[in-house]
Parts: sequence; C-alpha cells; structure tokens
Amino acid sequence: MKIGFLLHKSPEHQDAHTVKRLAEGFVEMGHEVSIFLMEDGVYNVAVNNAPRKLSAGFDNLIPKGVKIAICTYTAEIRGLNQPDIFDGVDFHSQYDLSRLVNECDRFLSFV
Amino acid sequence: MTVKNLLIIIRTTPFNTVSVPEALRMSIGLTVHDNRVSILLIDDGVWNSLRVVPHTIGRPDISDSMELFSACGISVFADEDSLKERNIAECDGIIEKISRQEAIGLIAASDVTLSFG
Repeated sequence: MKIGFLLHKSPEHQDAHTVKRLAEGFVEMGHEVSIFLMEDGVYNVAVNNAPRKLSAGFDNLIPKGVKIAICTYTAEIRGLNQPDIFDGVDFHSQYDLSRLVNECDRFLSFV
Repeated sequence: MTVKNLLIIIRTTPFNTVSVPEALRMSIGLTVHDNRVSILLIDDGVWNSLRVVPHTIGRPDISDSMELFSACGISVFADEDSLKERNIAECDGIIEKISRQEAIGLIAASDVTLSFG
C-alpha cells in the first residue's frame, strides 16, 4: 500500500515524532511511504549539528526507503535552501503534493 | 488516475497564523491531478467567510486565492451553526452556507481531509 503524510509541524511538536514513528512502522510492514513537509515542517530536514539537537530523526528514514520531499516555497521563505537540507530530500511544489495525494492509498495529514 | 474528493477543513481565525492563507494556496495546488477540492469553514474558521482585508495589518491576503476558486472549481462551504454562534449573518458571495448535517455528509464523502485547526 502507498501511504502519504503531510506534516506542517517542526521538531518541537509531538506530531513530527508521531509521523516519524508511523513512517518507520509502515516501512517495516512493507508499505511504500512518502512524506511531504510544508511550513515549519521543513525544519525536520534542516541540517543541525548541535550536540543535543532538537530532532525527530527524519534523517534515519531515508536509508530505510522513505521518500521525503519539502515544499520549495515554504523552505525558501524560511531561508532554507539546498545546502541547509540534508541529502536525499527532494525540493517539490504543490503540483507534486497534489499528485502524491491522488496516488496514495492512504493519506494522513498533520497540519 | 481516479478522481479524489479532497476536503480542506478550516477551523482557525484569519489572522492568528499563516495557516489559513497557506491552506487556501494549497487548495488551488491540489486541484491538479484529478482532485476535486472543497473547503469547509467551521468553528472559528467561519470568520474567514467575512470580507476581510488582512494586508491592512500586515498579514497575508486571502482574497487572491478566493478569487481563483471558482475558476479552479473549488467549492467553499460555511457551517451554519458556527455562523449563528458567532452572529455572522452575511458571508462572502462565493461561500455557500450548509447545515451541520450537510457538513458531516461532506466530511463522510471525502477521500482525504486536511484539517487546519
């Protein structure tokens, strides 16, 4: 089954951690998982090298096969560009979000 | 590709965050790829049914998105009970008032709901 998530919340919110854990669980069950990050949700994939970083651990999802994309517009207006985002994350548009919503068997939003 | 019914539920006031203008921008984007998009204003979300001019207080404008809705085939509904609770008598022209029962029917008939609240 193809499962999509839309997340608007930054790592300080429980929603970000819930999405991360659900995505992990779905992938382990053999489902195809895509996450689209918008608004403050884009901070979940910002490079953060602080020793005690505030993070839900989205960087661990990419090696497991979870596809992660961010809304280019909402990232740019927060001053986040390609070098600020960790590798493996795609820069997408609302056009791509629309396609994702249409193609997924289940689409869960955390906005 | 199958047509999907998407419902954007707005439960917040127009000015507190960028959530509403972003929900409206997203609504337009979602109309591509055979998605049928509707918007339901409910609870404090019905304040968005008034003709507001957010730019006068430095907030993002929502009228640009609203004007595109009919061209994109987006329907906007406002929950009558929420309007009555807030003494809102007149809505913007493109907004259709519906009963709570109809609002529930709209939610039940949706393939995907995105709730901004």
